[in-house]
Amino acid sequence: MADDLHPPAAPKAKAKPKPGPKPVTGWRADLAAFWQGFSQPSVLAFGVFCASALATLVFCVWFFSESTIAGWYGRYLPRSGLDAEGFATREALKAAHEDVKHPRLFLLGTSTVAQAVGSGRALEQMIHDLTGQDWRVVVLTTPLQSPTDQFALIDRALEHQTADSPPVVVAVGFGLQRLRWTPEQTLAYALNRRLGLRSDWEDAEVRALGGTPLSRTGSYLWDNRNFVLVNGSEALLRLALHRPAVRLVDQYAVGRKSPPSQQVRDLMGAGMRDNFPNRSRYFAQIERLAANLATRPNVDLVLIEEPLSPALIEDQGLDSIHDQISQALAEFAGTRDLGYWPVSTEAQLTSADYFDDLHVLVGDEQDLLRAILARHLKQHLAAKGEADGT
Amino acid sequence: MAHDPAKGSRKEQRLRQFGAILQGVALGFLIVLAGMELASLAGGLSPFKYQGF
Repeated sequence: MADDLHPPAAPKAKAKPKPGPKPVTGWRADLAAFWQGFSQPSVLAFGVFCASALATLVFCVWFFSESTIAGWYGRYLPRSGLDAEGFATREALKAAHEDVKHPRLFLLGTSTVAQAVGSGRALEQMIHDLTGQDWRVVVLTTPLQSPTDQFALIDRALEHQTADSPPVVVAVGFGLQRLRWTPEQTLAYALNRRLGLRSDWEDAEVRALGGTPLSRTGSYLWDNRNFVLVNGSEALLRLALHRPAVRLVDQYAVGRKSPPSQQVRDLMGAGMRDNFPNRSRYFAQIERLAANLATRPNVDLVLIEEPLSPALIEDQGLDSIHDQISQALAEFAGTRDLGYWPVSTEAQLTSADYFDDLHVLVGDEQDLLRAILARHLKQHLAAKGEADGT
Repeated sequence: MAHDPAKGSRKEQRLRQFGAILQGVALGFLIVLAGMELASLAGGLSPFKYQGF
């Protein structure tokens, strides 16, 4: 109550409203508006999401098709420079679809062959220096390549080969490692597909080994679903970012050289020794491949000896088996008019020339092996020329 | 220059729409990639699974 002691309070001056935060204007307001639209759910965002997912699926159907993989966009297919299966798939389909102007040397085999040859460019140069001809080297090697993989890759790569096409030489790596492929092992790998292509020759080979080939629907996506699922996301991201992988063929001798695992050596040695008595089945397999290739005009098949480290052969006591296989191969090739190029024997590499039991070092060792391959090709061409009377 | 609130609001609306479209495009693309990765995991698929025996 007001009295003398408590004078009435002066009426409060009307408080000025405090100035609030300044309204955001300019680029900050633009960014805030964009971020609001980008980060918050909305009917528009959901509609575009559905449309985008559908468009991506449709794009997948187009991208994962043989004609696309064989073409310019196929370079985005491999997951990385080390994805040998992706590159081999692409190279095989590309070889079938491209307009061929040069003779071609196709290389089939395991990482051992890949490491021995490298990218193929150096071999092309050596062949040119020796023969004066421009050959294209098509590297279709994959790690632990199974015999059925070889049937599939070369069947598809040469499906459009005609009598008018430039000549083709198919070089298949063959050696002690082949002895590890029992029919059961080969069939298991044929069912768990690593490559992104299907082939009649491969299916016939699966039947010849007593298996049942996987069914085919004609849809690339479905028939090669394992391959698509393994490669799909990386391929689409590579495409979106415009970053195709660059192949590194001789990737198996990178890093520090470490001593070989005795367990792995014993496993390999046991496989080779155990299956050596059944070696006739491996020759029969090559015979079936040769019979298939004979249906494609202007194609020659040669067998090349895979270079294995002498350390492995010595450690596992495989000298006798190695010599017998080499001799049998030479006789087999001679009686069937196939080429046999004993690259490893002629190179005389020592254990020090190898990174591990299966892969030579990068550099001079590769040059030596490539030079021997080029020389054999030259001899092969000369022999053919003589036979043709040209 | 005088600020036109209506013009500013139209611009902000367009930017919000652009953000929403970008969100939809990115998520639609990524959901397919994620689907492939998940299917690959569920199927036990790996590029390194069959490279040694």
